[in-house]
Amino acid sequence: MSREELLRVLDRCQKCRFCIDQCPVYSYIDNAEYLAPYGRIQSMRYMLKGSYTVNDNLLYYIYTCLICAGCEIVCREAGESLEVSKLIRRSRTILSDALLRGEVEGTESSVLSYLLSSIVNNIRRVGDPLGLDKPYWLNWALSINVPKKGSTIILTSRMYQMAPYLPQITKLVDQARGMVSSKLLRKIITKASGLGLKISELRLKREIVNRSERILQGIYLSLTKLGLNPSFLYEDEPYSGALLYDLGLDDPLVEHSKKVYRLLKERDVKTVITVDPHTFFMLKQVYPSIIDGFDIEVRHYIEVLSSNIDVISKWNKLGGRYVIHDPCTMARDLGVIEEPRKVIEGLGIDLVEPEDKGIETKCCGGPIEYAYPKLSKKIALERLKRLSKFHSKIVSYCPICWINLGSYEEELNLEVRDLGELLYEVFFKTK
Amino acid sequence: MLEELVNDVSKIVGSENAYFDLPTRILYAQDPMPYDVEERNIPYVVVRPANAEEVSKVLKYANEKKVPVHVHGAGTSLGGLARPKTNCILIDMRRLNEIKVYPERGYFEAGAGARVWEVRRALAEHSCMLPAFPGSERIATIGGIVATNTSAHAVDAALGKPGDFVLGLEVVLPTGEVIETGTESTRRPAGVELTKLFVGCEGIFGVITKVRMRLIPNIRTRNIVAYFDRVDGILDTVMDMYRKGVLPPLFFEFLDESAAKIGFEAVGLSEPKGSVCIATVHDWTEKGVDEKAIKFLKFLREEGAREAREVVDEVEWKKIWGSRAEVGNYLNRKGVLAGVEITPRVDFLKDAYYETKSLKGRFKSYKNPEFYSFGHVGAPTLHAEFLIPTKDVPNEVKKRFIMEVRIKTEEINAKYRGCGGEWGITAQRIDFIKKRYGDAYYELLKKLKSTLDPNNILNRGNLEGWW
Repeated sequence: MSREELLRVLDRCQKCRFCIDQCPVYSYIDNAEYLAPYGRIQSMRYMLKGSYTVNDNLLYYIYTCLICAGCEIVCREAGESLEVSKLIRRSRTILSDALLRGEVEGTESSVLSYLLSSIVNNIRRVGDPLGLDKPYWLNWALSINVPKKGSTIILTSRMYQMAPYLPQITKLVDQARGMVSSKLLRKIITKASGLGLKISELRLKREIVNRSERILQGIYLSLTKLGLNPSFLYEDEPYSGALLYDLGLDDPLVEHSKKVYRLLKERDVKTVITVDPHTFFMLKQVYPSIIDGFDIEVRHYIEVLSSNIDVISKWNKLGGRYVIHDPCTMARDLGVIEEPRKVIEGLGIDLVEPEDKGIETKCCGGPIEYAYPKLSKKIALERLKRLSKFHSKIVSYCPICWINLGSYEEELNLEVRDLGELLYEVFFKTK
Repeated sequence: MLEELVNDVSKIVGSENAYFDLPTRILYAQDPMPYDVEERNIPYVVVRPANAEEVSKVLKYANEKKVPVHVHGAGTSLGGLARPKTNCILIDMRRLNEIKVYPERGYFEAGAGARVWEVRRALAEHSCMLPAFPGSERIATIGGIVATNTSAHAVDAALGKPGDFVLGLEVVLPTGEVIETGTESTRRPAGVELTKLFVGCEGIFGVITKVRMRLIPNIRTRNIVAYFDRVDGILDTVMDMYRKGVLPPLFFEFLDESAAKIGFEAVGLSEPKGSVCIATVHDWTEKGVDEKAIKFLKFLREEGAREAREVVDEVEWKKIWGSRAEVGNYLNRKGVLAGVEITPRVDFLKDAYYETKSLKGRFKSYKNPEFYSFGHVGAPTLHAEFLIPTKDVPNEVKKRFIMEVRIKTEEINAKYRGCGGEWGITAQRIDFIKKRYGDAYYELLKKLKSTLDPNNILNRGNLEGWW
């Protein structure tokens, strides 16, 4: 979509503002209209019309969008059906071009330039946005002897394994935002090839790492109980590039996704079973739009389980009561709403529905944690507050939701569990 | 000067609630009018006060510095009210959003920035309702509803306007003084009392910061759809309803032939032959509402409805009710839409409809726009929609077209003795005011304004006439 085409679509916004309360960034934390979908669309629209050039404020408005698509439901009802997430991604593509060329002055632009170039460089260098010095994504599979070869693989996309590192890394980003001057940051950008952090430098919470491994083991074991024995690519396990997609970094995304597809074909992969919403979405919807002749079957483990509900209902019953938090990508982008409910209830759990559920679920704040951890925290706390009105135990099935909401479970005296953990309990009966 | 303004207002509302960047200032100035904001509309600063005291300080400061102030509710006005007419300090009222329901006192109080849906939800917990039904319910504020005194979709004669339920207000005068009007009793004051001055004043005489309204117990409703061969049948029905003393339903909508076709197709219903009438009758008891529904259906049939029936299936009703909104949506997607409200004296309804329709061939700014009509005909309100069937129209043409449509349709309102009933559009209809009521009336308005607002600070431009 060219700049002109983007402007033509943005021009369709009727300025009714019906969308603004749908945005958690606006409505959860009493913000002004610039942090609402309406504000973002109009800000970008007037920039494209030449009212102003790219500036720090505009960047903040566009990059704080959660890409959760909650506003799109209301836009549909209001008769316009703007695909706001796509428009924001496209806007980011335009802005990131300006950013990476160093055309924008200001602190926000410096921080974003630094982050974007780090993410791109890290993905090119080590395959994922973290840029850590050692493969950190293998342990879960080693201890349960997941096979290395097979045409059906479990594709973790390193997502659950990455999750424990995110709070630490985003803390560093936030510190950098406060401490480093714009000039100095720019200097760093030109030199930096990535964050290049060493695992040993990060103070990880061991329990969180253990939990992330148990989530994957729970998922994997449940698949084996259905007679499936997918393999795992171990060191070669690729990351899907979901963050590149969300940030509108189109060229690196094309480059990366082709690389991933090539790898899968080289390993003779016919079917992938994904374990998180973002990878599922990328492989199911984004890759086929980038790669001609994409012919790998893409499944999600929840779909696999729900289609075997007769078997699952014979497993050990966990009991207990949980309120469900639907991940945005799963519910709105992929329309997977009933399947997880079927599986969770199949485990003997009494499931409670919150007010914002299914297609109307609200984002956990996770998608903006990479750059705006404070804002992300406010959204997570409000989401937790609203969920906890229904029950103090929360269940979800997304690594971003798990880590972002779970980071505050102690602070709010709540329990945030991933479905993978519950599956693990089914087989090992330990929390 | 701008730097000083920045520092001063930041001290009043806190720097985190004052915004000076151009993107924010522009997007707050933008309203649903189909043409872009111009330099003169852009506020110097957007502020988000937390309470009446901060609003008061902003206004006192604005008077001292002679800087205009524009009040922003939800920004949804379809008639230009939400767009600043001059560079100004723009006050976003959203943070004044506290809602308190006092069943024991028989009223509720809400900050002006509370959303209509928020108020409705709070009232529902006490089995009460809000007598305002804007299409912008998702976002409209109670302050905006009272400041325009709009019941929106509802037929005034069935329930009344919001102002009929307002017991009192907290108002910040243009010069910054905070006053309270009205009563805490459910007995509204008789005689001289200032609440009425501010209800529907479109922010010209003061900033409403808090609203106190009487609690209304929930109503029971029955939904009705009727089909007429031609729109005339519906117009005659409305006129007969008032003439014969038939109790008006709470909602009484119509879609003319072309609008009905679009609306029904959009919601997946088969094309209706002719025009459609959509109504909701109400009462406070099941027995009462059933009786009303039976009587109203009988009346519709007597008036020549080809088919008139109660709609009990919720899914079907959602589609039927949604069809009228879909007409507007469709037209907005298709091109540049100039929507108007014609509210004639009821015995002139049919004449007003046909005269409005005849305007189609008489516009100079754009030849032969498409014509559609729907609206709250039982009120009576005719929403006439003139459409340029393309989006690719220069800003100036859009403006000229909308202005011409407004002027010509307001002439019809003046001729047929109506005065609008839904939108806050004073700024666009000063000519109408002069024509309909005369110069003395307009001069009185201006005197009132200058008495309350000697520096013409508040919502400047709304009373001068503006495009």
